Amino acid sequence: MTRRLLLFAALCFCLLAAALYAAFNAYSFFSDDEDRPVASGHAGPTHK
Amino acid sequence: MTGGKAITCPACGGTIEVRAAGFSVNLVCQNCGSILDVSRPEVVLIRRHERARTRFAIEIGKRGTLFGQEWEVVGALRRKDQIAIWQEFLLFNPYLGYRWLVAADGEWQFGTPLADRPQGDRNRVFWRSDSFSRLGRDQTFSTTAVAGEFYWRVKAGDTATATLFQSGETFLSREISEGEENWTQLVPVEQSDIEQSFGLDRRRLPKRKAPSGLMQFKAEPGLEQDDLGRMFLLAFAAAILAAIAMAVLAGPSTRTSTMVQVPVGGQIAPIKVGTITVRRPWQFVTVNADTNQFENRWVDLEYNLVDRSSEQSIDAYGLVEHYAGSDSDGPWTEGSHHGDTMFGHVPQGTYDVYVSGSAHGWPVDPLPNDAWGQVETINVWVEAETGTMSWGMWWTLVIALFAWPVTILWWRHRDK
Amino acid sequence: MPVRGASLPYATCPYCRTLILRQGLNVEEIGKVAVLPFDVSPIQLGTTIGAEGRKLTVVGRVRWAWDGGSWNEWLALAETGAQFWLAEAAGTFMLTAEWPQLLDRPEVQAFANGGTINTGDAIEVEGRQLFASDVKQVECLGSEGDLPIPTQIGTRMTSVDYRSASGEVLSLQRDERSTTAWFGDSWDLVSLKPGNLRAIEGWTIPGEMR
Repeated sequence: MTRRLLLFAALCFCLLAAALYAAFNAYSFFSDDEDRPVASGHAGPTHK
Repeated sequence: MTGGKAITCPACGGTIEVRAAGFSVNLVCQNCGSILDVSRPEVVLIRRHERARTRFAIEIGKRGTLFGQEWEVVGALRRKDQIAIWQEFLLFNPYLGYRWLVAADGEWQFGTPLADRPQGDRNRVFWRSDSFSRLGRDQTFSTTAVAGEFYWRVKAGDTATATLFQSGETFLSREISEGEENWTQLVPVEQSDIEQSFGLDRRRLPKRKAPSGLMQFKAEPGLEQDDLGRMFLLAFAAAILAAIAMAVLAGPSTRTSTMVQVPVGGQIAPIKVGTITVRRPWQFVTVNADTNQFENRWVDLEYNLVDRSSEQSIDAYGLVEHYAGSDSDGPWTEGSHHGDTMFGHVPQGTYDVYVSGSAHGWPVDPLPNDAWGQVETINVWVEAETGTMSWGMWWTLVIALFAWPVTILWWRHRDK
Repeated sequence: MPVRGASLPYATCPYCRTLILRQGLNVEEIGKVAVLPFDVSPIQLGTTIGAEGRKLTVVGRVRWAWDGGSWNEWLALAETGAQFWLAEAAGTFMLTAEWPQLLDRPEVQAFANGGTINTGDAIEVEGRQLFASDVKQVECLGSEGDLPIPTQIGTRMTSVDYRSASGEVLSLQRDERSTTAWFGDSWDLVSLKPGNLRAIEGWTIPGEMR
């Protein structure tokens, strides 16, 4: 067991806890409410 | 006591014993810390110091037996690299020559200088029919303190580059300093054997230099090899656990759906999709929109979740777009006939789901396509669902979990 | 005055530190030799070496110094009269025999004629690749016993050491009179199968060397 493995385990634990807290509260970086992705009239292909 | 010879320090006038007379080149005065040249009959002062000598875990002059041979500690060095501080002791026996004791991180190694140089490449060397593989990357270290006497010119601040090669418990260390290459074979010794033979000042044992920042994840010589697999395993386990827990926390699912027709070049007023219920205190609500096939159109959709008890509305927007064309590279398409929209942090309650929207043609709205002025429409199947989980959040977690082990793997790959 | 190697022209008088040149029955005083500094070398005059079935006896010593330190070169004679130098460095030993055929090599000839050799220069001897590891100006610190070279105060020479990966060594030595080449191996003391080692106060001679 190396010191950095313990540190890594602690990091994993923190990330997991944060993810579960977000899941419990239904928080997401990727939710679409309140932000209008494209205002009408601005759509169209980005193909160049 | 010993067969050494006494000299007088030209700096402080104190009497010093030269233990490896005839072999030692430099000596640190035990009284004043000045560095002396003792390679010639006349002692020469190289650098004057006026300070108490540095103390080490083993005192200079201690005699002890290791592997059945008697050794005298004649020199001690404190060295450091970016990760650690350690101590090295020079052992001497006039009939056997020089050996090393290296104390790092609670581990002791007994070192024998090699007259025959191992052969090989950067990653693997052969020595006396054994194969040794490189451990970690080259480390540059410097000498920060010296005591006793040495068969070469020493001074605090000397730097060298060391590379370790391993075969089982045996290490070969290659040190390159000022163009000179020296190899040492290192085998483990129990600290209790050292303590019994030489006596140890445990308070002077090297303490690990607290690694800072990235360095603490980067490397620990001798240990970095075996923990990477465990890191990946740990990250993998955490990712699986998170997926299960996130699915459970997403909670019970209810869904409702309908089909709406949106005229191209026009819009529709809010239409009720149906009713869904958020049963946990907070849940995600996703709305999926699927359309029939079309080209060069886009559909803007607005969804409203209206709480039956408070009549408050939560709004979100969706977009379905698909384009096709051709240019010098040939035909191309862009977009999808599907669009997902996610509501986060929706409080417990019963919601009526409404959809409204508009559709347009690209680059311009099409003209009515027959004499009766019939307008083109796009069919949109809208389905609203509670109790979904955010896969985007899960992938974010996976990236964060694997970032360190993958970085270490990359470092290692780059070193090879 | 004891004479150990009758074939050797130079001898140092242990009492008056005079360097003597013997030529036939003539004995000539060459100069004074510095007092050898005290050291804890395990070798002494009379030490024998039995490595590889040889029977060598140490009959003389020169102590050389350069700006990075100093070391002993012991002269050992075989029963045939063949000369070997046993060099002591940091507790390891180099035992070399004269290798006159090397003096025909162009790079060695160039060195003998005053040319320079740089560290890293390669030379092949007996199928082995050797690289120059040390090029140094050395100065005699003193001598004892019988020797093939004069060692009075102020004696200087240029010494070049070559090493191979497997431990073979070549030493080129140039003084104002001549250049000599010496080739051999690295050893630790035990494998030299020494006899009659010097007893050093405070230390016990390890069993396998007694």
